[in-house]
Amino acid sequence: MPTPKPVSLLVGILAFAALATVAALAFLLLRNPAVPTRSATAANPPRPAPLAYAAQPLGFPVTGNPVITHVALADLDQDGLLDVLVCDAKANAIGWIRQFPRGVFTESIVGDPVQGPAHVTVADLNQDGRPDLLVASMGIVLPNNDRIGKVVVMENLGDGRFRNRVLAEDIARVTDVRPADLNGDGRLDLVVGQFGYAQGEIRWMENLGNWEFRSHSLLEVAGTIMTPVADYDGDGRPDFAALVSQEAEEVHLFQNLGDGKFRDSVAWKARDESWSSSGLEVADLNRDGRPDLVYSNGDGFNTGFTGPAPWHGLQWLENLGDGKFGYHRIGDMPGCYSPVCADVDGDGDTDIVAVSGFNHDNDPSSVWMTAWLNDGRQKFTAVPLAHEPTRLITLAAGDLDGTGVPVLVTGGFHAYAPLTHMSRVTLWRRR
Amino acid sequence: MPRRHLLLSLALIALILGGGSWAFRLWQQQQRTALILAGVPPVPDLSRRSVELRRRLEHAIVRVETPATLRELAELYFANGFIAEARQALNTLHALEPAEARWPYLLSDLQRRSGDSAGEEQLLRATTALDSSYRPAWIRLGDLLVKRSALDEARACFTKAIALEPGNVRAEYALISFEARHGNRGDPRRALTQLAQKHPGIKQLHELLAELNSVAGDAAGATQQRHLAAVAERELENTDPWIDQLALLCFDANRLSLLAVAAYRERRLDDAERLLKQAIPLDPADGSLRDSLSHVHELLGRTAEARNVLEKAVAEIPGDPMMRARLARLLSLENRHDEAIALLRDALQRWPADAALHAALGFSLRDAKRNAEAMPAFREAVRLDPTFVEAHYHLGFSLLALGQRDAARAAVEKALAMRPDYVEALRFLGSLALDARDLPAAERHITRLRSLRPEDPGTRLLFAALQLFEGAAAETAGNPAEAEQRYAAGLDAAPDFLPLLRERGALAMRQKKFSDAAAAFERYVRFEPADPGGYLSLGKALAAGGRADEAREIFERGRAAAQKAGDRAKAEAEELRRLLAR
Repeated sequence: MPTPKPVSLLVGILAFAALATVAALAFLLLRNPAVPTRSATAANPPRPAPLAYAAQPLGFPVTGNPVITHVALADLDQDGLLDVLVCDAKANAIGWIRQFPRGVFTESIVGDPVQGPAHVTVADLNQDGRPDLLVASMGIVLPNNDRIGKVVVMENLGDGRFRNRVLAEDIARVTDVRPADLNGDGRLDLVVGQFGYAQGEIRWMENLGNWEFRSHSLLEVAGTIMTPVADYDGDGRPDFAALVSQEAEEVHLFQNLGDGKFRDSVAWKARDESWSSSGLEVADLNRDGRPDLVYSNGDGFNTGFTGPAPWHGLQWLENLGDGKFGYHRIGDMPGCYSPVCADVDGDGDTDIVAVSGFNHDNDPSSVWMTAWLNDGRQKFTAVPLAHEPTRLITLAAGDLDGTGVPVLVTGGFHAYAPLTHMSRVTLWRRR
Repeated sequence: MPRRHLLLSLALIALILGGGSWAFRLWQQQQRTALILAGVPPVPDLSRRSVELRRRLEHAIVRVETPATLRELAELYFANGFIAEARQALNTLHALEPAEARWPYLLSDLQRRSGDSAGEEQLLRATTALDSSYRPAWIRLGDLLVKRSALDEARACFTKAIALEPGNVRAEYALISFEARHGNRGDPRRALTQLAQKHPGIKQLHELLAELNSVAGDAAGATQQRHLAAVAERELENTDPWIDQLALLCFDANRLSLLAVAAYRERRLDDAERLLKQAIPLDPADGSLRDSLSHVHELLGRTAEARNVLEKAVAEIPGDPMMRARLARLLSLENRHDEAIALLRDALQRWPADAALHAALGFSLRDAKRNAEAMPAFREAVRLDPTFVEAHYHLGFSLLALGQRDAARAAVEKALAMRPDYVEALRFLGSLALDARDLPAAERHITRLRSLRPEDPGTRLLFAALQLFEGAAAETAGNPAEAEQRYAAGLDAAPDFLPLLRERGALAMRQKKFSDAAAAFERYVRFEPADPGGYLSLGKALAAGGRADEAREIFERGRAAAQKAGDRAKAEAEELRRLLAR
């Protein structure tokens, strides 16, 4: 076999190199580059929720854009069945969604119109054995500094008839009215929170009997949203907390010293004035016998309605006694509003459910209602409950069905565009 | 080597080199394409988005192959509020075009929206390093640095922003407010006052001046600036061209309306108009967009265009009563009262319980001088909505026009109870109380009015009138010293209030303070040179003070004025003639 000549070898090597180059080229050209695909679907499919609810519209149908500011559960007609009370700021009325017989709900309007109702509570103010309605009237719900607030009582005359009594008017916009015998005289007095706008106030109204009330101003501050009453210091007298959310973002504690005297202290204060406090609920979350506060921040008014802020969410203030509270963040939740406490998963501890008033409207994956499940040691896991309807700012929970399983009721606040996926009052039953 | 082999070898070498270089370039291109495609985020759920946005995004996604097409996609996502998607695309662009300053800047804005200050700062630093000539980036970086107390660096940022755009009000305000709150370079009020004079009517400038005056112990200056801030309607301009220009790619009506509101507040009316025109086709059923556009046209002095917008809105959104109310208001402004009233009456057939429509009808009837009909319209409005403050006020106005003073007062007092700072109501009640000589009530309302609008000419006149009546009452009660004080205070507020000047002079005459009297009448004559009575009083004061020659000259001037006035001044002419004959 003849040995290849060096020149032929060189040509051969070059030819091999050329072939290799062509092959490499072909490989490069023909291989499927490992690049991301332009997939039409983004997120992973949602995991099945361990807790799921089915929605059922309640009461009047949606017409226009509903503006529901508050829903509450109470047995107004004392028939043993919980009803739903609705503050309808669009209709300027209090709706009564009566449950009778069980599972059948019929809505009617209670009493005369009330402008901009923001909160309704049931209490037998005149002690005639019939529950009356205490209504906080803002006049106009959207930002306004006019003194158009009222404290209204709808006196229950029986047989489903109610008479409006105005206990205070031409005052800074009223956002909350709560009943409590503050001076120990056996009559229910009132704690009144007035948001106002540039000027607001917190007052208590002493019940003198015979529908006469005397106002006592406690603090002139703008932005009070809620004033939940409880015996926070354990001295047997009802105190109250006040959530203030305007120039300052803070939770006040008004300790009842007796004889109509109160000591005001700040239980917690946000460092950031755009904290956007939105809701305050009383519950003994850690079951130590002291009422704690569950507290949401998610008010979209601060962010110019451009969407939720990254710091929106839920926390609880642990009552440490002596008027002191410890702060615990629970989790982030866009536009978080109206936390309510209930054992929704039936494991014996207190969970929290909250709704979202301001979220990414155009994103169908936005969660508008979330359950925060308590592991028993106050560690919470968020479970999304609803991706629509949108703009929920009020929520109530109670045993509406008489089964021992909490049912949820929400209200839709559609005061701003986009006016889509709207609801008025919705009942949520566990699936 | 045979020539054939040599040629073959050279050809093969050329083939290898050429092929290798082509392959390398191809590989590079593929890497780049892979990088670009990695910047294409998964398509978000667009089911709640406008058809136009869906179409644009789908089109842009399909076309992504080059940085230019990825840029288009990134900008679409950014402009329409898709934070995660915009971030992914912009990060890729930043990697592909590391010398382009816009990408880190837009990314910094996304970090801001996510509340990540540290990330925002880092990206703003990258922006200014790449392009040190973009003023908004320096201001934003400065603002961030202030938040974390890096004050020297923040000052340098604001100074740089001013150097880039001398005279830019936003940049100058940024530095002045920084110095006011954190600086130690003396009193910034002078610079701020100059800025406010150069750019009148900007709310923030007056608010800061009020704050600084208050801290410096200048309560009057603080009050004055607070008033100016209260009436200022313009917000500090906050333009950001790199971000603002992306609004053209926005297909979200809600987002566009927010941008339009910001532009409107900053009195960038052309921008507001453009944004609203862009938003309306995206949400043609939203009446508030049409209403805003009409209002912007009105501010731009284009009333006919404003009306056209509303006429179209009434036709296209027949279920929105407010469109009719707004159109009626415009028609009334154009003195087309009958059309306005007919439009509203028609609307009320359909929406009889709409308080705003009843009030609108009241306005239109009042503008048409039909107060007897306007009054029940306002009454119905307040019956339907007792918190309708303006309706209470205008009900009072109509009642007064019908001569029902007590009812008018009650209606306006109701408005004032609900809005204690209601300037028009205070003015109304103050005037009404003065007319009725109810001086305590007048004092209450006018004092409040002065605290709210001290510079307003109407307020000054009302205050002067109050002092006139209070002074007269004091003199009647035998307290001329108080009367003198009252008149002086009134003239201080309204130096040209003639009845007060006359009364001030008359009081001085009665007190035998002839030079004071002469001074008051001299001012009177200066303001009212055609009134012979003024010369008569002045001449008498001068004569009583022993200045006979001056008195005679004044009487001569008075006679000339009386001649001009003719029959209206017969009595004065006679008296002047008699005095001159002495």
